[in-house]
Amino acid sequence: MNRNIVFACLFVAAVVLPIVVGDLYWMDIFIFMLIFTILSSSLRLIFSTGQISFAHPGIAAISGYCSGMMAIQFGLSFWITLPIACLAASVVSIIIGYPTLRLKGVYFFLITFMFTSLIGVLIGNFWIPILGGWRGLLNIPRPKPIMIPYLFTLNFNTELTYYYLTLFFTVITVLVCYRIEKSRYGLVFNAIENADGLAEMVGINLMKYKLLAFVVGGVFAGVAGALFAHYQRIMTPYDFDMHLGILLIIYNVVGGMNTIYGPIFGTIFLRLLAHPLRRFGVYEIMILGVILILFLRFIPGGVISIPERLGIVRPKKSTGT
Amino acid sequence: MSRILEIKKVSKTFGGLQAIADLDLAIDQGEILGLIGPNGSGKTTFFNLITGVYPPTNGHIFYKDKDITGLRPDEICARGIGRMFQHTVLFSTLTVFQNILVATHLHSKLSFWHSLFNTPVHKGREKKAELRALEVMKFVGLEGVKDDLASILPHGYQRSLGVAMALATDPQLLLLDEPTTGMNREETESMMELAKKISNEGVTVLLVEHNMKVVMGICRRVVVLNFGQRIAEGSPNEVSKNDAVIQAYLGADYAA
Repeated sequence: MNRNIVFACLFVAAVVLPIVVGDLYWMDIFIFMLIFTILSSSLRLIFSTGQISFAHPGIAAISGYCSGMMAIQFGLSFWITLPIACLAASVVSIIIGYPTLRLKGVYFFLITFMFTSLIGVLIGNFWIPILGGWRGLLNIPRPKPIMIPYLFTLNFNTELTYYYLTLFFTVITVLVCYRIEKSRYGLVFNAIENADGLAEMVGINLMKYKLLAFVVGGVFAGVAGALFAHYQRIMTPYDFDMHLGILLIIYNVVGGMNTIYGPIFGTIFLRLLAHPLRRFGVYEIMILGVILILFLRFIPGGVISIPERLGIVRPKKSTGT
Repeated sequence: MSRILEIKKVSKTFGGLQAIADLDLAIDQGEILGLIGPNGSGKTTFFNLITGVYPPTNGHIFYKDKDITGLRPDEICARGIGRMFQHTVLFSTLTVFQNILVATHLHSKLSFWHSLFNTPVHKGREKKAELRALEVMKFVGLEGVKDDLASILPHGYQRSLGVAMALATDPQLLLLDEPTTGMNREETESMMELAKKISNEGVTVLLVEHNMKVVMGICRRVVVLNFGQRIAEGSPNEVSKNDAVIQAYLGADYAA
C-alpha cells in the first residue's frame, strides 16, 4: 500500500470528520486524540534511536505551563506564547538530554521517569501564585482570533475551530517525523538503535543524533502541551504525569513502533477503547497494562503489523522506514 | 617509508587483568602487517584501543604523527582508521546496500533543514552517497545481494559486508579482525584477494588472523603477541621458526 495514499486518506478523513460527527462530545474527544497523536508520534522519533524516554509528559507540562502562564501574566496571545514555550521545551530537552543520552536502556528510562515526577512536584509546590499549585492554572485564554482583512475573523472559542487548529499542528508533526525518517536520518537512527558500537565505528557521532531526535521530539511535546493548555483552559500537575507517560508508551507499542502510522493508529484505537473501558474505573489502567504485555509478547509489531501477519499484505523486503 | 601508526608504551588493564602490557609497535604506510597470537593474547583489545572503544591505561597512540589517544571511535574513524569487527556486527534490520550507505556517513553531509524539505541539495547529496555505496559494494563483490537483509546473508557474505562497511569510511588504515573466520577455502581465498586488492589501492592493512596460510600468503611482516606483549616480529617465515612463538602456541615441549 502506497504510504502517500494512506496519509492522504487519513488526512481527508480527519478534515471531513467534524461534518460527519459534529457533536461537542465527540469533537472534544477528537481534539484530545489529535493532541495525544502529536505526543505519541514525536515520542516515537525518540524511540527510534533506541532511547525509551519518559520525559515527554514533563516537557509537555513545562511548555503548557509556560504558555498558559505567559498568556495570563503578560496578556500575550497564544501565537506568541507557543513559540516561546517550544523554545523552552527545546532548551529543557538539551539540558536533560546532553548528560543522560549517553546512558542506555533502563538507566536512561529511570532518569527520565524521575524528571517527569520531579516536574509534577515542582509545579505543584512552587511558585503557586503564578502556576496555581496542585489546584492548577486557571483561566488560560483561548488563542486570540486571527483577522483576515475584509474576509472574516477566525476565532478559536469553539470546538470546531480548535479541532482544525490542532489538526494543523498534528499534520505538521507527522510530516516532520515522516521526512526525518525517510531521509538518511532514519537510517542513522535505525543504525544507532540496532548496533551503536558499529555506528560509532563507521563515524556516526552518537550523541549528536540522539540529541537531535530528543530535541525535535521535545519541541513537538511542547506544541502538544501548549495546545492542551489553551484548549482545556485549565492545567494541573496531574495532566502530564506518570499516567500519561505510560499511555504514550502503550500507544506506541500497541500501534506499532516500526512505522510512522503505528502511534497514530495506536492512539486512535486505544483512546476509542478507553470509553467502553471507563466502566471498569481503576482497573482501566490495569487492563491497558495487560494489553501492553500481550502485544509485546504476541504482536510485537503492533496493530499495524496485523495485516502483514494475516497475509493480507505482502511484507516489505527491507525495513528502514 | 613513513609510519602511519605508532603505539608507544601502551598498557591496558581491566581491573586486575592486564590485557596489554607496555606495547610498542609501528606500522609503515602501505604495508600489510599481520598480528597473530594465541587466544587471549590481546589482539582484539589492541584493536579496541586503536579505534577508541576505550582509552589505554598508559601510553599513547599516534596516527600520522598526531596523538589520537582517548578520542571517540567516530572521531578516530573520521581521521582515517577503519575497522572490521571480529564477531559479525551488522545493522540487522537493514539491507546490504543500506548497511554500506550508513557507513558512507562521514563522506556526505547530512543537514537537518535540507533533509526536512527534501531540497535539490539534499537529493544531490543522497545520490552521491548512493553512488559511493554502490562502488564499494562492487569492489567487495556484493552487488548480487544488494537488497537482501543483512541478517539473512550467509556467513561469508556477512564478513564481506563487514569489510565493505569499513571500506566505505574511506580509511587509510584498515583493521581487519579475523576476516576469514568460519570460511571455507574458496571464501578464504576470495578474502585474501580482497585484502590484496585493498592494499593495492594504497590502504595500509593491519590483519589479525588465526589462519596461518592467510598470514603467510599476504603479510610481509608479522608481529606476534602473547599475554599482551610483543614476543616476536619479522617476516612470516622467521616468525614461524621463532622459539618463543612456538612455545606460545604449542607449549614449551615443542620449542627447540
